[in-house]
Amino acid sequence: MAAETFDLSELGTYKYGFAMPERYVYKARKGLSREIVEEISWLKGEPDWMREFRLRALEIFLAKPMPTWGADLSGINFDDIYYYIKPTDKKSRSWDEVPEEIRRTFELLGIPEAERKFLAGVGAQYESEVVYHNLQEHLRKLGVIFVDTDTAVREYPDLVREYFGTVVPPDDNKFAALNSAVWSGGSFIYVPPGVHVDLPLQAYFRINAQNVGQFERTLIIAEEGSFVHYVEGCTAPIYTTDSLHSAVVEIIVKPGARVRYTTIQNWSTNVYNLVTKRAVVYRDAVMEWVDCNLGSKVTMKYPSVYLMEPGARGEILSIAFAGRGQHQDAGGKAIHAAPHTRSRIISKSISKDGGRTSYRGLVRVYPGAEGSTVSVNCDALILDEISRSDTYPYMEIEEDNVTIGHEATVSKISDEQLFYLMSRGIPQEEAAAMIVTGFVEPLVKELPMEYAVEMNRLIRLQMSGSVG
Amino acid sequence: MAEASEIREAARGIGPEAFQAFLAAREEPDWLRQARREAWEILRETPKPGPTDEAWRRTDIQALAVEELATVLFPDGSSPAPEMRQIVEPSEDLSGGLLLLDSGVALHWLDERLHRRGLIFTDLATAAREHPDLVASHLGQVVRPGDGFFAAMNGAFWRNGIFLYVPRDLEVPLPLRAVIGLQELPTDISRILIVVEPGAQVTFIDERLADDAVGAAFHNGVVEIHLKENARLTYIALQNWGRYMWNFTHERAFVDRDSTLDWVVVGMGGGVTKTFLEVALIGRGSTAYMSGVFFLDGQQHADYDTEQDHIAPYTKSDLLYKVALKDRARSVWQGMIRAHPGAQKTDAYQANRNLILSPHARADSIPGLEIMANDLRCTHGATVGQINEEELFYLMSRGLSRTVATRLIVEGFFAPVLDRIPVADVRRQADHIIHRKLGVPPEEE
Repeated sequence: MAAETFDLSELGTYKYGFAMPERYVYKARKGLSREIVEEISWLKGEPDWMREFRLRALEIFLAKPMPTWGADLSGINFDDIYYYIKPTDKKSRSWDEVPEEIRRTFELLGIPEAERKFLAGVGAQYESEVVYHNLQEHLRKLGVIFVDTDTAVREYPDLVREYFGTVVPPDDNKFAALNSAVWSGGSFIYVPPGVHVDLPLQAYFRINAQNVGQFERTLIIAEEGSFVHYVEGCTAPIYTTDSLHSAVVEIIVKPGARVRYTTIQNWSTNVYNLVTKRAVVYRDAVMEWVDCNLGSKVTMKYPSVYLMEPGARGEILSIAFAGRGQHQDAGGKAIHAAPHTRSRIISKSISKDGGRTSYRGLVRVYPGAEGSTVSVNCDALILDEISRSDTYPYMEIEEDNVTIGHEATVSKISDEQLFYLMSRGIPQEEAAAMIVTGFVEPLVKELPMEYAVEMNRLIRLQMSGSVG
Repeated sequence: MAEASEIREAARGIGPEAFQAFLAAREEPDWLRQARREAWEILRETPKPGPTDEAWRRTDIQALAVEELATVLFPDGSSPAPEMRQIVEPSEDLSGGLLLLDSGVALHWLDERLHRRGLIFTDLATAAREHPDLVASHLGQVVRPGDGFFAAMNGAFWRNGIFLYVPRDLEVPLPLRAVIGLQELPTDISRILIVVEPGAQVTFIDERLADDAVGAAFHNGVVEIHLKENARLTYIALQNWGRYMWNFTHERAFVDRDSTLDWVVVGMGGGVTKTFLEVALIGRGSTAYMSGVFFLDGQQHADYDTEQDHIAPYTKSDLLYKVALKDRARSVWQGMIRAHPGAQKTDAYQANRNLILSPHARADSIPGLEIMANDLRCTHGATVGQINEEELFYLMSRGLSRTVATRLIVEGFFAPVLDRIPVADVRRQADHIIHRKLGVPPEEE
């Protein structure tokens, strides 16, 4: 009956589906081996400790079984993936220096324009390497570091060595191990004590080649009382074969600091997106994840907050939109390891055209984390009868003096709302898009304005080819 | 524990010798022996669940030595303690009573008028002999040996059980009550089969009873419910095993067109409990209410796995499980609402409320939704918290002691579920256990 009520047309064409011809200075062989890992490390001129870290991670990756829960990952063929592609020889500070094809890609994506308008700094990664990086001068003077992680290993070895792999160790899960073995690129951010980075820093990740794996590694250290907002966007062209994106993000939020991390993930629908994102949060500090998942074939991503000291607070806002052939298995984890810590998880998901969204969450309160409060809210909309939505929230509570709540609903677009809008002369399709936009509005309003506009545009695009 | 002379033990465990000895000792019709063989073949292929099985991650049964279980036993017939008899003795509040003690029938009666109208309420071993067609066509259809290790073990080794058959359009005026008790034996492997024919209505009270004196014990129970069109079953389960009981059950109901199942579970006893409670809404317009109260203290561990399976359209389910935890007790509730493709207009809800009364208690609450239809409303909620200090303060400022104030709040917490039990005697019994666990002296009750 629902199919008659609103006839939403096919998923809009993927806007970022164009591909540039492949021209690379270095492309490793397909498949994963000790030799490939050593080659990556050698090409990057890494110190011994990093090479050893990679090799140890490779062992862990090979030993660990594939996860038996979550999305179907049987389509991944680890032997049919390029683990390292170097698109250009040098890194640029100016867009004019970026090789023509890559520059055109980012221009089509609107990155240089965005940088001029409203960003304090930007990094752009193409395949395995960051090709462009810039940070506003006044922030550099304040001691803010915003470079790609490879550069950080060379230029800030002590800082990197102190924190790298401490929040997400290689043996955390199979894909964290994979990333630890073959990582390349990603952002390294260091914010000195008390410094507020007032405009967002952004990184843009682009996969261009076929069968490539992108394994960026991001490390953010926010010193006491500092603030930074980091935004990442991701796209890839559409190929008939699948790509793999497996990032690791580690964030350290020191006492009184605040970090906000926003992701607008819009990979094409042949990308397996398996990402480990985690933050450790200390006394009175705040970590906020805003995680928007539109693209990809399969996403498994659960940004987490580990609340380590009293007064720490974590917030996870998650939006997922699954269309034809997509499975968005997303959610969040809040681990309360200290008294008087607070967390809030809000998740909104929409599934359409046979897509499947899953909320998977974990709230864990350790003994002694008294006075902690947690609230989890999940709402799912299913737009047609071939789509699916699941909710798997786990709550493991080992402390009596706590307040924990979880609420979730799954429903369809209300016929009354639709009727009301249509009775005001709004076409059915547009009315449905309006309702969906309204449904995610509480989360979208958390985005910086430019991204909120973009997000609404993406949602309308997903809702229909003809709307918007 | 009983003297060795009272019990003959033919074999232990679940291996081939035990199974042969078990079959040899029972005179059963071929269809039943065949069903047992099939279950046993499945059991042989099914490993004992371990911590890597998703459903068993939170309940550790490594310490349960399955091969040591006394599966093949021949009791001489225990005589029930008066308290146990009393529960099911003929009274004007019941339509029938049955006490299955140490797998044998210790007491059995049924209102003659119901008997004449075709109602069958007897032990399962007798039913298999006297009503073979009815039992054969329903047994093992709802809970199958393939449903899990303990379901397979039950299918092969069940010793006795209860059979309730309510014929078409019969409205049973007063509840039927059964007790499955352990007194001398250390193990019970039993099965309840309920068939409610179209248009019939009945209330059934199922109590599992053993006191702590029984010591280390094992229960494997299966409950199968066939609720046919436009029928109504109120099923009250009171689990009151002793503290050292390993308690495993698989319980499932098929709820057919326009029928209603009202299923209340009171779980107070047991040492380690793992139960699977599932309703399958297989007919359009069917409804299932699942309510539960669980109060665990000491080292009790209880893991409840529920499923609300919406297969037909226009079905409704509503689950409310309330758990209070004291001392070092741990509860696990894993609930799933599943709306299958085509189950449009499903209206499903599940809620789990946990009250933690001491710092070392632990509650795991895992609601879940798997939704494959779109024109529906499915919601769930879960909360974990302690007693609200403000409520306590309010009551204490009125002159109540902290203990009494706590008791009132816990009673208030459970009341919405206990009020759904339509039998005053069962409500009183539940209250009594709650008071005992809260340490209320008998004179204050």
